[in-house]
Amino acid sequence: MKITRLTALFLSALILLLSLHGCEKSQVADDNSDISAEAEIIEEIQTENTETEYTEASEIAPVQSNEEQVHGIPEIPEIPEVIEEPNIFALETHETFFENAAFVGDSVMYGLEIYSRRKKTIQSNATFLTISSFAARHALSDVTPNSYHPLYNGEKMKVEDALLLDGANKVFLFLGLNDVRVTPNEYFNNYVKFIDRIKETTPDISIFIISTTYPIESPHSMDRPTAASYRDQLKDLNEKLYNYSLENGAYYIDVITPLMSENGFLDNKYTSDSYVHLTNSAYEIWTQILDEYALSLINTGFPPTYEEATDDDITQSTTEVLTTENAPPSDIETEFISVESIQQEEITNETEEIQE
Amino acid sequence: MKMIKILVPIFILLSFTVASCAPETLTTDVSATQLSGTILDEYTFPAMYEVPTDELLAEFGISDKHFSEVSAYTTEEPYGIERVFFAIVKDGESIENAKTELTAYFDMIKGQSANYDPVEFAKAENASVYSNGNLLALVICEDSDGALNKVKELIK
Repeated sequence: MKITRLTALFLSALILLLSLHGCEKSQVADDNSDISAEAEIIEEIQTENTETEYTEASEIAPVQSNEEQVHGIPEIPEIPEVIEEPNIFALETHETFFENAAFVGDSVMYGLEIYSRRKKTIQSNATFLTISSFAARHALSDVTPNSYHPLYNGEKMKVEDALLLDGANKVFLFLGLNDVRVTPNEYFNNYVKFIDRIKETTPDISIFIISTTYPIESPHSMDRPTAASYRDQLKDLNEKLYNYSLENGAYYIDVITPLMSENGFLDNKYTSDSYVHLTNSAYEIWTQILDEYALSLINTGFPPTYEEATDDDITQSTTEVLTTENAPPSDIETEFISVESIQQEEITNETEEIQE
Repeated sequence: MKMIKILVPIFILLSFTVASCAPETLTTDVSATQLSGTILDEYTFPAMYEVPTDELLAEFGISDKHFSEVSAYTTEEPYGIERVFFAIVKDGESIENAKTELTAYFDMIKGQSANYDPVEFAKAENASVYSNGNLLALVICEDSDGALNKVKELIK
């Protein structure tokens, strides 16, 4: 008797379900428009999350397809899974960012040390490992009484050893001015070898490569062609370092673009010795760039973005067009602008000749 | 009598020898600040930065612990070669040690300037670390020789 009742109940429920299923199918078309709109909103929110802050992948609510929502069948979300690395700088403050940093370089970097100490900028809390004429080839050499190595706590030592002792979690490198003319075929390889050594000794350290700066167009100590050749080698190094940073997870900070003349040399107003060394006003710009870079990393996990040169910008000087830090080596833009200007001049000349 | 005749010349000779070996002493009460002020006024310098005592080690490679008074200047812009340094060594401190430290610093910046601008290097080439009694001095400028002579004149 009980079995008969249960069977009847089961059959009734089955008929009811089938009839409801038929009704729902007819409503799907009407519901689709609402569901699509809802899905769009969810997708927008997710895109925003991806761009602005790091969210655990598991926290992203899976979006169900129309069919899933109708049938209530759980399926693997269709949107591609966003694998986001945590922002390793998120817990830093502006102060700690530089307290835990070391600046390594030659006399130009030493200039930043002087500037930051005297002006008591936030970078003055960093460790400075600088020595005049320092080059990547020196960094790779052994320490001897006559070797070029910076002092750490009064002791001459290899940079990688000093970084290990210091405990810095970021290193800002500025080399090249004393490399390119001395080791024309090796300057980039030596730089990379030096970075590799640092990574071997302190694997968790973040590498920041500061673009090398250029000489002025007509230094006291060399003729213009020599200065141009020197600048070209430095430009080549910057381009290689920029690409290296993209491919190897390093950070490339462009400090030369805002300091350049229209001809792509160091602007005379930023040199303190009519050659390569910088003025306080140049270091003021460096400091702004470093601060913006640090704050961007702390807040977003990413370097600051830069604006591409537009047609409207072409009439402006390069230094006005590219003002941010993570721009690629600036001379690419400079050459582009120069070519455009030349082409424009040629067109104008041709038009004038035709008119004549 | 014979003994007196022998001893008197020896005594006179010894007196001269001892006098010539005795360290020169600062015969005036000119202060380090006064000396640097005069030199900065009378000779040509670019804009200069007055170095606080707590930055002396960083700027001049020498600790202020040696001195009872220091007046030191370097260029406002980085990399200028011009320097003005006057210090009075404390009683009980060795002027030779202080001079050695300052000389090491001077040799370093002179060596660096040799790699760059010959005009700047010439200024350093003509300068030298000078000591007299408990005064330690270094002046690097376009007329380093003239400035040092002026210092000697001031402390007579």
